[in-house]
Amino acid sequence: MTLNQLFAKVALAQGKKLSGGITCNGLRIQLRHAPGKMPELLVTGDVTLTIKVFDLTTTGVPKLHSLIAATQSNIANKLRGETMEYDRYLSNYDTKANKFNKNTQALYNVRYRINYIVKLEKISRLSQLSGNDFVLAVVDRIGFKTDNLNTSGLTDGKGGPATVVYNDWCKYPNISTHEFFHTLGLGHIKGTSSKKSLMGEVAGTHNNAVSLNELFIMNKYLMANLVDMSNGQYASPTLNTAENLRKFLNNPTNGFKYNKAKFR
Amino acid sequence: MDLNITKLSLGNLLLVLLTLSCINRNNDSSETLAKIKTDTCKIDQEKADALGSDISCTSCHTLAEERVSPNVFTMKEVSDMDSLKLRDFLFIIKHKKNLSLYKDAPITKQRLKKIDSLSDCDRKNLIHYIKEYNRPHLYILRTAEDTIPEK
Repeated sequence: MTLNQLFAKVALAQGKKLSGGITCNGLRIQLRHAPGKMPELLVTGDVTLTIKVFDLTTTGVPKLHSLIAATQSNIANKLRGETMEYDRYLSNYDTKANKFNKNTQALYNVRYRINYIVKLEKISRLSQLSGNDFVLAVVDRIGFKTDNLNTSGLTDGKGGPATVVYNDWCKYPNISTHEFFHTLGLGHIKGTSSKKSLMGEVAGTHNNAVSLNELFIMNKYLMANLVDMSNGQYASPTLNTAENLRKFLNNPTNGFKYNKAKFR
Repeated sequence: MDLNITKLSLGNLLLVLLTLSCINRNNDSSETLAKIKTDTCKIDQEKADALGSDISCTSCHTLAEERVSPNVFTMKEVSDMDSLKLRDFLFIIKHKKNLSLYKDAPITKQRLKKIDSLSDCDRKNLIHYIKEYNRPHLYILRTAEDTIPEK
């Protein structure tokens, strides 16, 4: 049992809600083994993604609630769909015990049919942020300048904190989804296809398409701990979120303008 | 007698000069060759990502913190390796040791064959992809200057 699983079990025993960016209550695994073919694992179940929206603006944010609601449904829509991973090296799945046996390993094709439940929760204090949370900080301005263009969002990829400028979020409602998807491991799309792609490197009102390959990459990031996720209560390991956000906001190169009084 | 010594000296000098010029010419051409070789392979992030995605290192070298089995590194550990070590161990030795595991996995077999058939430049790009995994990635979403008023 990992430390995270232990914390999850203790939290459950105390009647506390599981907390963290990725939580679930045991994914269901079904092994299909046709003769002469690679064994296939069908993974189903609900996975909850929680993103803490930290309002660090100086001015009022009258549209924040509607932006949060729209982004929540946009992220859930984009993560919908079945993906298939070929030849994944995993612990052996024991059909009798209905769980993975960590002592032996095998290659499997894995079919994911996951129902992602996305929650964006507005927070106003640093103490509301856990180490294993995903965070989207809303700031007044990002001074990071390249090619004479303004910066609307800045994210430290793969689990790192995401930030977005409030006024730009109002103008381009999809940019928070864009920034969060960097946290899930997606990079930028360049060239002609970038104009319609959600992950295009310049913000626009028409950028909202996500490819199957991008869905696959995000799913792979979210399902990295599949063995633990199938084994009862699960909360994702720490990302050091509060400390990383502090470093990110205080890095002078990034040029953040935000309400420092709120960051405590 | 003096004339003979002078002739011999001049002859030797000529030979030395000829040898020197040949050596220099060889150096020049090897430098040019080296330059040409360096210029033909450019590390291209998109190409590196495509190669990484195609070969799918992360199917075995897990993205999780914990190894799947004691002898298979996590992706983080692979990325931590020195580039030269990566080249020797990943392309040549390590994967061949585990071939029995892939006997019933045609896709992985195909991926590994692909590693062996990669050009030198593609190998450099693949190493770049692996090394990039552990580096911080700062993503900047930009908007056109005139759309957002300066504050």
